[in-house]
Amino acid sequence: MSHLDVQRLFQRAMHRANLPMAYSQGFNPHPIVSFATALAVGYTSISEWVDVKLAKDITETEFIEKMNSALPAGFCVLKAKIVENNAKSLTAIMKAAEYDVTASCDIEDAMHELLSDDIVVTKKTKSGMKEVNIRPDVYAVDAHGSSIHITGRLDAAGGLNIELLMGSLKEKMGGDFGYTVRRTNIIFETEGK
Amino acid sequence: MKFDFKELEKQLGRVEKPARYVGNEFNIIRKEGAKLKFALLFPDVYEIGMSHLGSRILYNALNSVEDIACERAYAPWVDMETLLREKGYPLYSLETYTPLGEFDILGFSLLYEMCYTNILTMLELSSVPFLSKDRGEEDPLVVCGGPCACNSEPVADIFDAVMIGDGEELAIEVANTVLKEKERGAKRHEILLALSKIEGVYVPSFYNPVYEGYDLVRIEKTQKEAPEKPSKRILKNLDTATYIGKPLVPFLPITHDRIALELFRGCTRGCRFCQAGFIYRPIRERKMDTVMEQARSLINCTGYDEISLFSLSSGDYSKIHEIVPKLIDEFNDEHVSLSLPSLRIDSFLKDDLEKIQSVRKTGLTFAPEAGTQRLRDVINKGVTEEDLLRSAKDAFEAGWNSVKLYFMIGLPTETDDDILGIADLARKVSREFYSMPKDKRGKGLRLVVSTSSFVPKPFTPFQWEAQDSLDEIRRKQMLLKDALKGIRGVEFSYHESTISKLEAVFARGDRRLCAALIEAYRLGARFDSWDEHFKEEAWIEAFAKCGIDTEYFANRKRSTEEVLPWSHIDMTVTEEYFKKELERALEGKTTPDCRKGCNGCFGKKYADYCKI
Ligand code: SF4
Repeated sequence: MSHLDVQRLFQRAMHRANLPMAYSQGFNPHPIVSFATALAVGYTSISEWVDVKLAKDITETEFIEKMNSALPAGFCVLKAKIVENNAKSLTAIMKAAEYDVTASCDIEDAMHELLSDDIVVTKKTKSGMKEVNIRPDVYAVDAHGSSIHITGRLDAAGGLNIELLMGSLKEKMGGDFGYTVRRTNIIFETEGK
Repeated sequence: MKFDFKELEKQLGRVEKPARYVGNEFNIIRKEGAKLKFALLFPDVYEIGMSHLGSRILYNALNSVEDIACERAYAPWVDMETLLREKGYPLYSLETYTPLGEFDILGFSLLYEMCYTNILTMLELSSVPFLSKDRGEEDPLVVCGGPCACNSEPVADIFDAVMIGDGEELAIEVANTVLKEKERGAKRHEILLALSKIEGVYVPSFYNPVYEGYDLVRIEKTQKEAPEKPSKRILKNLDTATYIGKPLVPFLPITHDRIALELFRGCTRGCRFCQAGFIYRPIRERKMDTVMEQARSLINCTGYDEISLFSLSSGDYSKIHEIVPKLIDEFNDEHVSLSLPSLRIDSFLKDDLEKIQSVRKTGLTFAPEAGTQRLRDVINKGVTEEDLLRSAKDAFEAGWNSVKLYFMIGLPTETDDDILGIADLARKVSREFYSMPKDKRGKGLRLVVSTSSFVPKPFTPFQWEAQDSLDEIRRKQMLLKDALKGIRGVEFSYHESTISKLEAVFARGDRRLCAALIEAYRLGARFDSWDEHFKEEAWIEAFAKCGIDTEYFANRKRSTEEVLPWSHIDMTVTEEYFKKELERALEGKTTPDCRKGCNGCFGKKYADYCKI
């Protein structure tokens, strides 16, 4: 599912749940629902965060209960928190994210080796291809055989691209293999919240 | 074969849009322990199949019966077909991941001829023999329904039974009969015999076409007890009938991703080229209260933010000017928008336009169908140039600047003047826009002139008429393209004429075509209605191998005395009526809308069926 599909799914569920949705102004009003960040197509996740604006105050429990009765199987609201109207958006305070990567072969040693040096990849930018070192975006890695847990940068400006990291790893190992990615957590700046 | 969906699921990353193949949609119906399993199959890709209102009605209707579990499958896109074949996996239902071969009934919806090769893909991936005669007691019964069922002859050898007409009661009756017969231990042949007695069921193997030379001369009934003329099923009351219940809400955007409200079934206008206009007669309206109730409950259980009015010409609904504002008021606070897809230019008022605009401004389509009044009279399209220009002006004044004009090329009696008439009409519409003061009109005009090639269809007054040859269609397309040059704001779009010819062959074809269909499939034909998949060479080779003269079916003017491949099917409107209408057409005489007075299309047998 694309990010847009997920957004639409969430909006429809809110409508079904009969929540007092707030709409944007303008020519084509749409519900104010915005995910902290998009999830790459094909990834799974057990932790996504979303800002929602309602037209009327309701309690957190009511929101959770109503949403969970309206979401399709596989989707569930775990937590909700009321914030001030002028609170910063989730996207603005997001710092990092954690991922579980499961590969079809042992990648433990190769991953450690990869991380011992700069990881230079070519990125497509507006002004053509550019070489960048993505090593600083990798904050922590915990590798066991074919499974790795990665913490990497993720903020409003961008973040660690798992595809690029795995691409470099494949290059290093000189072979192709399959892998799945699951986002397990998004970390936010919590001071002054 | 034991099939483990979990194993397949791991591979789905390889195919485009995996969500097509995993089910799990909101409101999905999974039933444990039903006695009969009915697979509702759509021989095209998921996004199109999921948009089909009829399938949604049947899904709800069949599942409303305790003993029946109705599950779905769609044609796998070519990448998925490859994956399934490579791994030796069967095609399966989206509800319980059951291989289709394990169902009691496989029911295909046939909406257009160009999906026929996909039927074969779906059967082959289910290890079910293509031909009815090759299936054994263990195989599912393979049935079909939908508009193509009125001439199912080109695929008649595939189907054990064909359901003709309105499906909601019929499909349940068929399923219940199969269940009852199976429970008493009936053999396949006995089941078919029992089915043939249901009004609306046609069992092709009980009828045998006889040819002399290349011509069909009669259709013999080979089973004494089968009806002389299988007839279509008519649902009498839409208000008491089941509708779509709690419809599925897909994860993927689908072609019609909104709530469809069916205001009525049937059409009274009698456009002579339009098959839907005749085969869905008589007209039956839903009460406004029923529609409003359905709208409310459908929005509540789906969370959709768009409603469309879905009928052959929604503007003809007797309460259209009441229901449009009512719907807008009802859902305004929830920001649910309303769209009216099949608008008739003469039944639409400016007030309504303004209201629709207050919600959402989608493109507007007008369908004059032909370029001159003479030809519009021939096809009985009761629309005048003044109607069109006035409606266009109203739309422009209400702020629209994107309009589509839809025409057909190759209509009976058409001359080059009629083609040039299309360009004239487009020019006048364009002028209408640019003659408005700059501050009153929208930014730039986008006027799309869209043409398709006329395909003569069974059960229309033009069922005997010839389709233009490919060269002639292409010549006319180019003539129009030239004539449209220089008109401000115009874009021209037209369809590949080879596909229309194939459609014409199958629309009015007979049983001999089935062999060619299978041959073309073997040669790789799939998704023939998709330009990027259409394999012309496969079809040319298949027709040559099977000795099929395509001109005979598509480009020949037939005599009204001829035995037509569908002569043994009773679609309620009589052949005499079609003959009379054809005569009037060729004389350029129009026939009024039958809301103004019955034209007697049903003949004596069904005279009391129509309540207008
Ligand atoms: S029976 Fe008469 S009113 Fe009814 S559809 Fe036919 S022509 Fe129209």
